[in-house]
Parts: sequence; C-alpha cells; structure tokens
Amino acid sequence: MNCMQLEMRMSLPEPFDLFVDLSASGLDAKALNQYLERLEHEAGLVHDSRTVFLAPPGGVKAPAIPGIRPLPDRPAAALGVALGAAATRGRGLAVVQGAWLPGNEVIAALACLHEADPMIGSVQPRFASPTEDNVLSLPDEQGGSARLPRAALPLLPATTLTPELAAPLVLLPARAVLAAAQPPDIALPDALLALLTGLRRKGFRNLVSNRVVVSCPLEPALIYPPPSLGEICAAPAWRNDMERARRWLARQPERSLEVLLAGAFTPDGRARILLDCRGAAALHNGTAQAILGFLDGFTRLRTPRFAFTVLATREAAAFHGLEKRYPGLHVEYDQPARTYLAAVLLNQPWDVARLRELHRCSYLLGFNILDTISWDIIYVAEERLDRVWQVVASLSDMLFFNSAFTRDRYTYRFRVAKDMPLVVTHHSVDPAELKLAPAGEPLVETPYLLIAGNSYDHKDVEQTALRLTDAFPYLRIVALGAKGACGPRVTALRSGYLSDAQIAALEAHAAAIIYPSYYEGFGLPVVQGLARGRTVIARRSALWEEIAGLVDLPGNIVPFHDDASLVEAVGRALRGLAPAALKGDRTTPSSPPDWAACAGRILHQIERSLEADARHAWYERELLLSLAA
Amino acid sequence: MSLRIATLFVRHGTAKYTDSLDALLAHYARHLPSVEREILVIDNALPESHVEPKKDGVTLIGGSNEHWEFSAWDSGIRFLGSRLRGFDVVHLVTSAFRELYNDYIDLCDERLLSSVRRRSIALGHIDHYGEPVHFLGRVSQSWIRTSFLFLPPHELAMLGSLVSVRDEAQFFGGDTAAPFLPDAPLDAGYRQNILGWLTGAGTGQGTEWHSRFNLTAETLPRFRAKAMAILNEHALSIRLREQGCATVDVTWLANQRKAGRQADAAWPHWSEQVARRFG
Repeated sequence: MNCMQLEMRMSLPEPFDLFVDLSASGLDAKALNQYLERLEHEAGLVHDSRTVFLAPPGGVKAPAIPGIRPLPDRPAAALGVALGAAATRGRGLAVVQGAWLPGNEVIAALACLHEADPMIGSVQPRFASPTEDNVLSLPDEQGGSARLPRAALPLLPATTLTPELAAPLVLLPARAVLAAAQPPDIALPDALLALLTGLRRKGFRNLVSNRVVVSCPLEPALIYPPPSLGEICAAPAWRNDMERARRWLARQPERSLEVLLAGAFTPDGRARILLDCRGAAALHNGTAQAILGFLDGFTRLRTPRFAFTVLATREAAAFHGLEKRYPGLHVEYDQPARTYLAAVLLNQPWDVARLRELHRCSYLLGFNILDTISWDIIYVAEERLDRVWQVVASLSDMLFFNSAFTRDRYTYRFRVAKDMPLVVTHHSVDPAELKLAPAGEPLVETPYLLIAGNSYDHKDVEQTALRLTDAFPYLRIVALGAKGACGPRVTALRSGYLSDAQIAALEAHAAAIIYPSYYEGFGLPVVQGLARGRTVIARRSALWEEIAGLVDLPGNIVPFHDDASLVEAVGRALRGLAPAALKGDRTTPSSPPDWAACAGRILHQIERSLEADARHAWYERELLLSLAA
Repeated sequence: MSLRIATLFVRHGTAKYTDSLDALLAHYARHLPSVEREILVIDNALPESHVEPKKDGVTLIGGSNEHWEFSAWDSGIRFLGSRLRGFDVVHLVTSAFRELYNDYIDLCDERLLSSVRRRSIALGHIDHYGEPVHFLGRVSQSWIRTSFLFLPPHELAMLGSLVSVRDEAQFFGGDTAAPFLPDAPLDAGYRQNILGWLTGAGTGQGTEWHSRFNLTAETLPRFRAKAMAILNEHALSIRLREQGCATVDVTWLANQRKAGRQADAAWPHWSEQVARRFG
C-alpha cells in the first residue's frame, strides 16, 4: 500500500499527548479559562489518559485543571518538555498553535496514520475555512496558498508525503517523538519547523492527510507561515537544505494538482469543462461541421453540474458566430485562460505542445479522434505526428472516436494505455440536424454521375472518373474534387469552393452518387446523400456497414470493390434497377444518434473518469511532460 | 434551478414499516414538490443483483445486508456510480424514519435544503447522550440520526464506505451476562448506554426504544448486530467530523432561517445547536 492508496479507516489511534501553544494568543485570564473549558467539553481533548501541556499566554497564569499541565517556560522550551514527557511514555504528541479548537476526532484520525509508514515524522490535516467550503492548498515557496473547493478533495490522493511543513496542528507519532531533537529556543512556528527539519534529515517525512479536514479560523499566513530561515539556523548548510525542501514542496506534483483543481470549479460548485474547438478553422469543412455539431449537442443537454467553456481561435469564432450561436456557453479565445476539471479537444491533436498546454490547465484530458488518415498517408502530416499520437494514446484519460472504424484503426496503430476508455460517439445522423439545403435547379445538364471527394489521393476521384469515362463514354460526369479535366465529358470542380446549395443541387439531380474514397473516418457526405434519399455507391469498407447499421434514412449505400462491381452498380442505378444495398444490422434498439446523444457520450465518460482514479494518468502526464519540458 | 436529490431508501422487506415508502413519497409530494428526485429503494432482503424500475422515478434494487443499512447504502452508491455526483444532495433514509421523535422531518422542505445547497454539511436530527463516551480512541457525545439524513455527494465520496466498523469480534464475546469483551474499545458508559437502549430502560434520557428485547443466548446475535448498527451510526458522525463535515440539526437550522439568520457563519458546536434547537 503506498501513500496514495491508503484509505482512512476507523481504527484505534496511537495514544498521544497534546501540546497547546497559546503564548502569542493574547488571551486574558477569563478567555483562557473559557478556552480550556471548551478544549475539554467541546473538543473532547482533556481526559484521564492524556496529558495536555500548555504554553499559556504571556503574563497570564493558567488555572489548575486536572489533566492540564501549564509550562511557564518559553514556548520552544515548553515544547521540549512536552516532547520529553511523551517520549518517556511512548506516546505521540499533537502540537496545536493558537487559540483554536481542533476536535479530538481529527487528531485521533491523524494518529491512526502512524501505521502508514515507519518513517512518518509528522502528520497533519487539511485546513478549512470555517465559513466557506474550501481548504488551503499546499503552500508555494513564499507560503502562498490557493483556496481549494471541498468538492475537489475526493480527487486528491488520500495522503501526500511532503518535506517538513509547519502548521497550526501537527501530530508527531511516537517513533518521531523519540527521534526528535530538542527544538531551538526561538519563536514556536520556526522552532517546530526546525524540529521537523531535523526529523526529515533523519529520514522522517511529513504526511498530509487529504481525508482529515479541520476548520481553522487562523489567517492563511498563520496556517502555512513562510519560514524565517535566518532565525532558525545560522549554519548555511541547514539553511540551504531548508530552502531546498521548500522548493521540493512547491514543485511537488501534488501541489500543482491542487492549484489546478482550485480553479476547476465555479463559485456555485459546478465543474468547469473546456471544449477545445481550436481545430475548427474559419471555413466550412468536415472538422468544423463536427465541432459545431458537438457544441449544438452540449448546449441541448441539461447539465447543471457542468459549466462549459468553448475555446476557439478568434478568427474561427467570428466566422462561425460562436458567441451568438451559443449564448449559454462561455467563449474564450486562442489560449486557455483558467483551469478546468476536464478538457476535450474536439478534433485530433497535431503537436505535443497542445497536449502539454491542455495538461497544464486541466485535470482530465480527452481527445476526439476523427480519423487516422494523416498518419497513414504521411505526406500531409507534421514530422512528429507519429510521436504525438503515440503520446496521446498513452497519456490521455479518455479517447473519443467518431466511428468504431476509426477506433479500430487507431488502436491497431498505437499502443493505447491499459484500461483507456475508448468511446465511440458517432456524429449526428438525425435528418433534422443534417440541415440539407433545398435541391434547387440542376447545375449541370442531366443525366450525369456525381463523383464526390476532394483532391487527396485516397479520395480517388480522378482515377474513378477515368474508369467511369471508359465504361460510360457518352455520359456526363461531375468530378467534385478533381484537380483538372479528366476527359471531354467530365466537369471537374474544386472542393471547398461550392456553397451548400450548389452541392445540394449536384447531389439531388445526379443519376448516381459515387463516393470512391479508400479511407474515411465517418463519411458525412455519404450520410447526407442517404438523408436525401439517394443511392450512394461507395468503395467497400467496414465503415459503411457501421453507418448502415446506425442510420434510419431513406437512401441506400451500395458497396463496390473493383472496377467491375463499380460499373455494375452504376449501370443498375442508371437503369433504375433495385440496388444491391447494404442492409443495416440495427440489432440494438437505440435511436440513431443526434448531436445531444453524441455530446452526452463525452459527458458520460467524463463522469465515469472522475469516478475512477484519474490521478494516475494526471501524475504520469505531469512527470513525463515536465521532464520533456 | 431546481434542487436535485438522490434518495437512497433502505428497507428489509416490506413486512415491517409497510407504508414507509408511501410516507416518504408523500413527504416529497408535500414538502419537496419541485425537486428533481430519483429514489432508489434498496431492499437488503433481495439479492444484490436485483434491479427493478418502478413508477414515479423509483428504482428497486437488492442490497447487501452484511452491515444492515450501512452496507445497503454502499450498494446504492455503487449502483448510482458516477451519476451520484450530478445531484445536489443525497438523502439517506431507512424504512424506520418515522420511529422515535420525528417532528423535524416536516421541516425538511425545499427552502431549507436550498439554503444549504452543496454546503459541506450533514443535515439531520442530532441525538446525544447525557455524557461523552469513549469509542475507538475518540470521545464523542453526539451523532446525527441516519434514518433521515441529507449529505452532498462529495462528502460521501470522501467517506468511501458508510460501514465504519465491521468486525463484531472486536467488540463482543459470547457471554450474555457481559456481552462486551473486556478490552473492547468502548468505555463503560457507552456499554451501559447500548445495553440500556436495546434491552433495558433506555439511556437515562427519558426515551425508550420501541423494539427492546431481553438478552438471551437466542437474542445475542441480534443484540450484536443491532449494537454494531448503533456503533456504525455513531461512527458515521465521527468520521464526518474527522473530514470536516459539520453535523447540522434540522430543527436548529430551520429556526435560524425563520429568524432570518444567514448561512455564511461558522457552524456552531452541536451542543449549541441542540441548546437553541427550539429558538
């Protein structure tokens, strides 16, 4: 069992004595009496089996109370006496600084942790505001802390090992009491820090329990006071050592995680989710269409638990009118401006810098893989895409795919981390959301064949046009995506330059639509053709079987696998014969997904990932990306 | 935005407290009509694999009876899984929720629950002994009644299992004359309170349990199981306080709200709440 796995148990605590330092509290005699009464009756800390050592307020005589032993020495010397007595009795010693009241159950819970590891020098709780539902994060080198919402505490490991950390409540287990040196005769916070440093130099670390929380009314600067190193040690070696320990604490991954989580919730307790849409360019293409579809879905879901932020480039946000289109979503531009509980990049990442940037601002990371074509065809990919996608496969919390086909390609190509959630979201196939433009008048003299694609080699538009020209020499062909003329009866159109209405007209009046692409992630043009009730002749692929099983649309997909089957399928379409269409195997009774369902699958996985122990993936990322940086 | 409540209602069959679920539904209809609720009935007389959707947003599942209602709640929490985080409040209820003093239940309405929405408190009825008791190295005098209790989901997530003590052999032997082991981690006062409550005339506070019985060889297993439930109820409050979750008395809070006092002050000690429970 390591310190991250240790869960709090209701077990018997190691016996402990108590040292309370009220020397700087400013309490008068009456207030001291009241405090001691509450220490017994409210906190339950005074009873027969425990000695309570007291450093009383300056100039105030402590009353005689059974079980409470005032030590009129200076506080550090008094602490030394308490340590000696606890050592003699083989007990732990809880040290409380200031006139506040931790309950006995809190210290008992800390005293149960003495068995966690033999080299624990001190144990301490988290310190909460009495009036707000947050705790102080572990401090930076100057003692500064963020406010961490309580809702984030279950996301932290049960315990965190740190270098020495002086705090208003620290429990020294019996083994540490025996090993501790007498504290130097200086002000107590520093004397305690010196004592803890001495323990650490012998190998005894500090343990912070993230499951034990105490309400503490002291100011943050008094809870984690910045050390007065000059006071504590004149010896340069110790001073350097303490500074180093402070740096170690400030740079601990656990502290980085706390700072991150401190900003990951809204003031009303909703978890912040970042939808990274920077993959959408300022133009209409398949990626932008998918990303906008997901945003439509997120806005339609009733998700009072989450606060969504859309991150987009300023240019694309203006082009797609994001602020107007999604008034319920907060839009940020270009760079993440805060931290989040989860971030999902709604398209594939193209460089490690994006992964590192999202890790810095989010606890959970998810990536939406739309296809693996770039990796396979190489010629359009960045040099390091291979490494990027391998890192994503290893270090994400969850991966999303627009089809099982894409998922299977990705997982065959990259070593995906064990137990990585692989979620197929699909894209909307709801006719109402496919937003088909009206067919309008034909743009080209009928009859004609429409070959759809673009200029990438895997779309195979030009080769298909040549084959069909050979087979049907007198038929007009429109080749959408062809770079140049493929024959006298072939009209070549560049993709990306036609309006939705023009494409709709081309699709609606074609004698047949041919989609010869070798490789797709989802194939939205095919789905649009089906929604229009057309027959789409597509190159055989497991993807089209998946799509046929997903949709409930009036059109048909007719697969071909070679020139002969292509020509036969086109010939049947031209003659108006019944197509040899794929029959969807809709064995599951679920409705064809709309965008809300697709977005819901992402949200559902985020919730599931929060339930699981997502810290391990975060730590791995933190360590590897820090080293890489 | 309406309050979202997940209710984990535990029962052991329907022979006892027959109309208790109906009474709970009536409470929601009368006092919490606008909340978004999901009620999970966990019947720990049914096998844990049992899942049966019912009408009115109710689902019936089987639960573990190993540690009575506490293990049954664990079954319910496991069943809801990550969905639990989507609620503002989790309502823990047992079929015995109307037993003993229960006027406070009617105070649990939308206004009161909304006023502490997502606050890190356990809201219910605070019970207490006349004197503090020692239990597993802790000193405690009060606990929050678990038959009708509201908690935010993140506090449940921090707690982990609601079963705090599991091993009867840590506390009990086989002697009906002295059922507690001599070295059991309970002080004499606590032992007497438990014995008095289950088999005698109460805890000296003027209240008696409705189902008390004589301690014999035949009833010893029941005594041990019931005493474990008492310990688990008390231990739950101790563990909540250990994790910094304040236990808040419904009646006290309702009176504070009635008097126009705001929720942003520190929660007072239980004894102050009880002392000012009725104003």
